Amino acid sequence: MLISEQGILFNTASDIERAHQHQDLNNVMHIFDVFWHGIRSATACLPGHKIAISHKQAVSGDGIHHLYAYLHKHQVQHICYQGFSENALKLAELLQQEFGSKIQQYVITHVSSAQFENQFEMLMLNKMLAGLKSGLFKRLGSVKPRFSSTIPEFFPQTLINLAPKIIPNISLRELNRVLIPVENNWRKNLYTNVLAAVYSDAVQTINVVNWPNGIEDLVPSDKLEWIAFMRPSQMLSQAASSAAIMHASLIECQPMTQLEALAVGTPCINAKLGIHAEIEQHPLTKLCEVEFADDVGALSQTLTTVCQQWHTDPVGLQAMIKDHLTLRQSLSMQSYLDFIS
Amino acid sequence: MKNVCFITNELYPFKPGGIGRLMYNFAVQNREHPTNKCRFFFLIPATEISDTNEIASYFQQQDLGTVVVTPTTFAFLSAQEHKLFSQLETTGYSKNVFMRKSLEYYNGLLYLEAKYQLQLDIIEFPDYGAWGFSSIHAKHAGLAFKNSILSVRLHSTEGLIHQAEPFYHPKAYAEKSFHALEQQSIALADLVVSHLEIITQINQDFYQFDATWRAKVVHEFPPIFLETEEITPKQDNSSSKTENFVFSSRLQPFKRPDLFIKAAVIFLSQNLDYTGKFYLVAYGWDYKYIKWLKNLVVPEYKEQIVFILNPEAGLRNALISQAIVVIPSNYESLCLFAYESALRNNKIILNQNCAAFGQANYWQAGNNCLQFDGSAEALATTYAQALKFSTAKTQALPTSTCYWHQETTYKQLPKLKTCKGKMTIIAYGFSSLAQVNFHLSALASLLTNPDIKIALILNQTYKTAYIDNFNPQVAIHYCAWNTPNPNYIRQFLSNLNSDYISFLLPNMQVQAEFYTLALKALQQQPYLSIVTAHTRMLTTADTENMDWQAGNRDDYAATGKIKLALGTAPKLANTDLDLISNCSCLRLSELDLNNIQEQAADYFLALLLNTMLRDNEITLVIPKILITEIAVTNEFLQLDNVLDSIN
Repeated sequence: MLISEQGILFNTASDIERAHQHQDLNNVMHIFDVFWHGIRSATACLPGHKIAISHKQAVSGDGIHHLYAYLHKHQVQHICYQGFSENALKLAELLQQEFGSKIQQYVITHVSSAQFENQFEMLMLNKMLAGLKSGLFKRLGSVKPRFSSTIPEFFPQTLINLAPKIIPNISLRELNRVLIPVENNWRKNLYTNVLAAVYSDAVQTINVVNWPNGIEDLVPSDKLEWIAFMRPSQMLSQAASSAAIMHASLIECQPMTQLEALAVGTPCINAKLGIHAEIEQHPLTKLCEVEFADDVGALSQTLTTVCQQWHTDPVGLQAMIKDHLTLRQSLSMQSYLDFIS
Repeated sequence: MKNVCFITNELYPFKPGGIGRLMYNFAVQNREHPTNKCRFFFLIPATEISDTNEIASYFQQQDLGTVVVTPTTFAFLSAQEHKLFSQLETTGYSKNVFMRKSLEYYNGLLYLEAKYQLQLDIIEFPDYGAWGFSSIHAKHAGLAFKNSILSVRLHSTEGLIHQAEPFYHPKAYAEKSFHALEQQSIALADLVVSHLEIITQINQDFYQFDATWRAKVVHEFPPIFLETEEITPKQDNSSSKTENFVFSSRLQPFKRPDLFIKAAVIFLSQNLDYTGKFYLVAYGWDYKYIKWLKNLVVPEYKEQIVFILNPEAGLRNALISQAIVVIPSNYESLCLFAYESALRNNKIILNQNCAAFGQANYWQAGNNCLQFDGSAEALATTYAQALKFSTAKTQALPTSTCYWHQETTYKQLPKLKTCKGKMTIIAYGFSSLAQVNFHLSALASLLTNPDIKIALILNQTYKTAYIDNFNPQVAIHYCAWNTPNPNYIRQFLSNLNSDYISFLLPNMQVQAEFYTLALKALQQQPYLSIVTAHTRMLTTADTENMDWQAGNRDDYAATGKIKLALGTAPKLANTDLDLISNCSCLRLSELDLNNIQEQAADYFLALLLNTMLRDNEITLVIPKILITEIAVTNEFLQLDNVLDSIN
């Protein structure tokens, strides 16, 4: 089924199959936009009911009635809007009319102030704040660390993203292959990541989803292999076959690419993210994080170190990743429990 | 109270036909049953009968049972199955139409059980049309009807009808597929109901069923009676009046109305003083055939050989009650009409070549009927004898208790011995480790089952790859190519310690559910050699459709096309390499490794499967879409090109 049919999708397989479970969060409903991929990926990992809508199309009357029935049947008490749009606002208002105080509604933003050049973001933040003031929303939260310093009305604690839950999967990986699954724009920093990989002697093949145009004028490009845009399951398989993922970008909240890589046991090299004190102190963060996002030398060295670790201590590396995921999971669940209390 | 459901497209008194009358008789008998009344349901198609409401209210008013109409959508199957099965044509004569019908009844039975919140104890299909195919296979796959008995009653399959009408039908793909589906429905039914021993034998010989099948057959003589309005009192002076002859079966070649007419012409030309009439009081749907029959009547006898098509019941009864009944059929499984005529004390002429007449104890030539040897000339002579024949002697009809009124039916079902066989999924042909990981992650959930193993055959360049979460249930083998050649596979299989195997290629995505269902079926049903399912076919262009972003991100957005698995169709095995999916699960002991042929190249797998189908190995077709196949677009691999290169 596609969103175009009713403007709403209930628990689509790809939005629930890799979700975590938590007895106190399994009955929370998350409403998100079908086309906002990063937010959708983050929501897919959370426990709870998953309702996709679209900023391009209103929910049909049938869809709304189905949603009412669904909420009644499951006795849902908390709804989180992951990302926000006019259509999400409309839905929140309808649900308030129908259910009143029986359901508490929340909004979680996935934006950084660096992205406000897209004025839509400020418009939506304004509407969220109005909703908070009018009592439509109980609380506003953010996955961007320290976002309450950008807008003080936001919940001070950062909501922590989860990695997808994967059945301990057997995979085969080539220890000299890296994956750079980023767009070609300055925010995602494609050229820096590619150059760092090209300069690493531990790397023989670099898979890119977008080609760094003109790179061949600067450095030999024979390590580069272009692969097509991938759906999430293909992305996970591709990550699982690589020694590492390069994802040093300039502006982030909590990149899902990193978490998806970790979920299949692949380390991700990135620039400092500062998500949470405990995460910053974790040995995996120390192994994979560089101070400056455009420090090609540091990125290249880090990548080489990580690749070498696959040869010298793969078991230790995998244990480190597993431990990091466990930490993320407990931090994430606690952050949502605090937010929805 | 047992819940019993009959699947039928005829129901007396709304549609003519012996099967519809039989259903009605069962219902009347059940209504009157003093101790063991069952709850009867009749599942009828939405498309073939226009007055379904009328039938339903009549049956309800008469306390005969609940008539349920099959839904027009496949809403009781998955959303994808609804979409793809709805693509299948509804009319015409093709494999897709036949399979659709059986899927409609399967969906209809699920609807019936859901609507009335019950589990059916007995579901009875006719043998004709393979209507039970999907439901019977669903039960064997463990999908539905776990505690139901799925029975098939031997009326007449199209396969047997075509044998009795040797010059009327092409023997093309559609016919062969129809007959293969019919054969498989009868083969896998829990219980087979037959009215006559000789008909059981004919079916067993025709379909080459073994003793195991024979053990599933129960014989019973159905209730046959006439309603008061069907009995027209004979006129007192009937002896002085000239008797007429009547043919009142369906106008269909194997019922031999042509013999009735030909013999009439001979008789009339020899008996110029005969003033009676030959009535064809009948119905039929093949108007070309009916026109041909009418042309058999020579002009001078047009007054005496009379067609009365689609007669009103009163007229038919009146004509029959005063006439000599002629049933010249080549084949019948019982023929209710013959027995009804006996109840009416009619003089009856039967074709002795028809086993249901010539080899059934009830019919005694010269006693309660006259018989002829199957030729028009002999029938003409018999007409003359019949006029002089004293009125037939009444002989009571046999009786027996229907199996739904018996407690022992359940005990008759043989308990199967289950075994703990192991399955190996053999995956090969990968051109990247990402592809390997994609398939491994799709199958990862299977590895909690200790009876399932995965064997990966990889290019030896991947020997240096690091294995995450090594699991002893996944074995990796290396060869010099991405796709090993047939000899490698033959060698591989001869060393493999596994009971069942299935091949997995990169262009196929198989749902984990397929393997768990197949494993269970193969373990529990030792007679199954192959388990397969229906396939969604996608083209490369379909896979490039980016609409998945607006739906399930792990699936392709394109609906694709359905490719139905036909199962065991030995007569098509030499012409169709696509009868079942290449990733079907196979019982290794039934596989002849010599049939893995080096020169078959990329088609070796399809050929291997086809040799099994040609050898009549029993296939279970799970009525679900569990396989997605992306059509290989490499033009070097297209069949035409391969054939061109050989010629």
